[in-house]
Amino acid sequence: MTALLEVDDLTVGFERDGTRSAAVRGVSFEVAAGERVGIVGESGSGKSVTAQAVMRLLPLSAEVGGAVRFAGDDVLGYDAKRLAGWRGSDIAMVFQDPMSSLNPLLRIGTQLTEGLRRHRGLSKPAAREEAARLLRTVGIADAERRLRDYPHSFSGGMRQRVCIAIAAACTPKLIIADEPTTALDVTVQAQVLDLMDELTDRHGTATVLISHDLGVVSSFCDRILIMYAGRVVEAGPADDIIARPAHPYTRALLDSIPRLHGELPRRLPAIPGSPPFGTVPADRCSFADRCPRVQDVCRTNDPALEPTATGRPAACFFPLDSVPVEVR
Amino acid sequence: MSAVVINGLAVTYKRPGRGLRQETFKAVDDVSFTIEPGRTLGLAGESGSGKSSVARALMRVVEPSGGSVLIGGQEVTKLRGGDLRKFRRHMQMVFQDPYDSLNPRLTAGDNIAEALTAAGVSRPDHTSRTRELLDRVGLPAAFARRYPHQISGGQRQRVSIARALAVGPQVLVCDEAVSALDVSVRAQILNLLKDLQDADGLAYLFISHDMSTLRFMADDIAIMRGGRIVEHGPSADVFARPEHPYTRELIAAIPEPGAGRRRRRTAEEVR
Repeated sequence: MTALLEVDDLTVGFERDGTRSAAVRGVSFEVAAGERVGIVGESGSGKSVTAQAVMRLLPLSAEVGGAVRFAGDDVLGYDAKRLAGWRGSDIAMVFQDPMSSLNPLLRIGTQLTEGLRRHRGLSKPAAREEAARLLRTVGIADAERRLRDYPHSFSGGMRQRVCIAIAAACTPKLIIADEPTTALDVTVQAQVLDLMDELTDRHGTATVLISHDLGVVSSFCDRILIMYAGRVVEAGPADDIIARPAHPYTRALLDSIPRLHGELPRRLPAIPGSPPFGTVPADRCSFADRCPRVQDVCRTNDPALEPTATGRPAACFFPLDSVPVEVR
Repeated sequence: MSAVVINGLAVTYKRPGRGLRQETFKAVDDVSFTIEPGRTLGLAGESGSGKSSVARALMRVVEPSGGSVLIGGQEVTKLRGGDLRKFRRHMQMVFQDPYDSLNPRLTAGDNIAEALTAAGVSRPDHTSRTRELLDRVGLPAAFARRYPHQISGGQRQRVSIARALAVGPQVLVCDEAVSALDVSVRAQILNLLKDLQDADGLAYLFISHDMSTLRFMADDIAIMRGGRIVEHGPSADVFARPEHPYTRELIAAIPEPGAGRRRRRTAEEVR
């Protein structure tokens, strides 16, 4: 069976004030039907740009290269009409800030029924009934009445539930969620993740979850891609990556998170420096300046994503071996 | 002497409306705690729990409606004018988003120099003091000439810490100071705050919704909900034996890497 989503050597460049910067530099991955894939990265790693390129949401000024195929079709070749039919029915997106992704001037009901009428061809009353049912599935009580409310009368967590209800309305085959819980309180975050679990389980929806939080991603996803400076630097099953990371960056990320259990270090093992921003030199490893395992070759050559001793691919000349990380 | 002693603090906000329709909202209700020099009190809770209002009342950004606040033994709730300005030298705040809290039209150096002026440092000494402060927060002196938009988020937060230190405070209030930072940078800033505390004996009120960060930073923990402290004790005890159900809920809500897949609810539970 072919993958639902295939991203092949995707590149995205932006030109600003005459200088070109590469936001995504050759990203490839696949998502199978019903699979949950996590993309982890810090700001500037290209994770959100990758998602926007897949959804075709980038501005015209962006130069997009490579291929994106959805169920075998070339997404980058879709015309406007095809795009409008595809988004919402086959693929949907949930954004970080539910306030700015909902239209503040329209009632929730209008925003929920829009997709239902357009993609599922429901009549007005039928769409309204379905919208109320959707609101109830995402745990909003008194749904019929709440359909008449505007976004501002919902709390942040409620708004994100509404966004998820809109995304799930036409039971798409793939939902891309870009930092869906980052703006929410931790207990609300747990509820929203529960909800996404439920909905995707019930309909076998594939999910791409994008986050900077390894904890959130590893608790939800089957497979994880770690991105750094526009590239995938490590990929594999979630549990394996956490238990024995191959790339020094992944390891350093895991180490720098304060833990709830175990001995308390006096200082956290921090990664020196900050993630690169803007132009990244192409002929060297982008993590070299922050890497504890750096050698001369890292500054003159750019490592490719290749299989390592851990059995998973990592873009590193000196990957960590397969000795499991001690559990802290 | 304790750096901070708060007793029965209350903060009340007025809701819009006039006359008889005027309603008030109690954001902070009977909150008491002390912080010793060189120690950190971690204040946890969700948005709306009143934790930022506590910080704002301490700083006298909002007027407390009741209770007393002693900073270094001095009652500060009644201070006005010049005395209030003098008091603010003892107490500084680091905010969540350094992009909003630094003046975008001033260079990093000038942002810090403003605080030096407030502290009464004479102009000729500004350059050398700014260099010293940048050095303390781990930034090269050349950063003094850069504008906030020219430096990264972690570096901006270092500049706002330098600015807070400029007046030589005894108490530093960090309101979600690392929440907006990248994971790899967050650890650096937490380490920096610990080092500064060790060197100067600063007292920290460290506000965060992230229990794992608080476990690392705080000596004592207070959990706020609905304007009140529902649990308060030494950090080790609160994490080992959380007593209030809300504390347990907050700790349980943190997904830790390596803790495995979340328990997916079965179809029966969903219905």
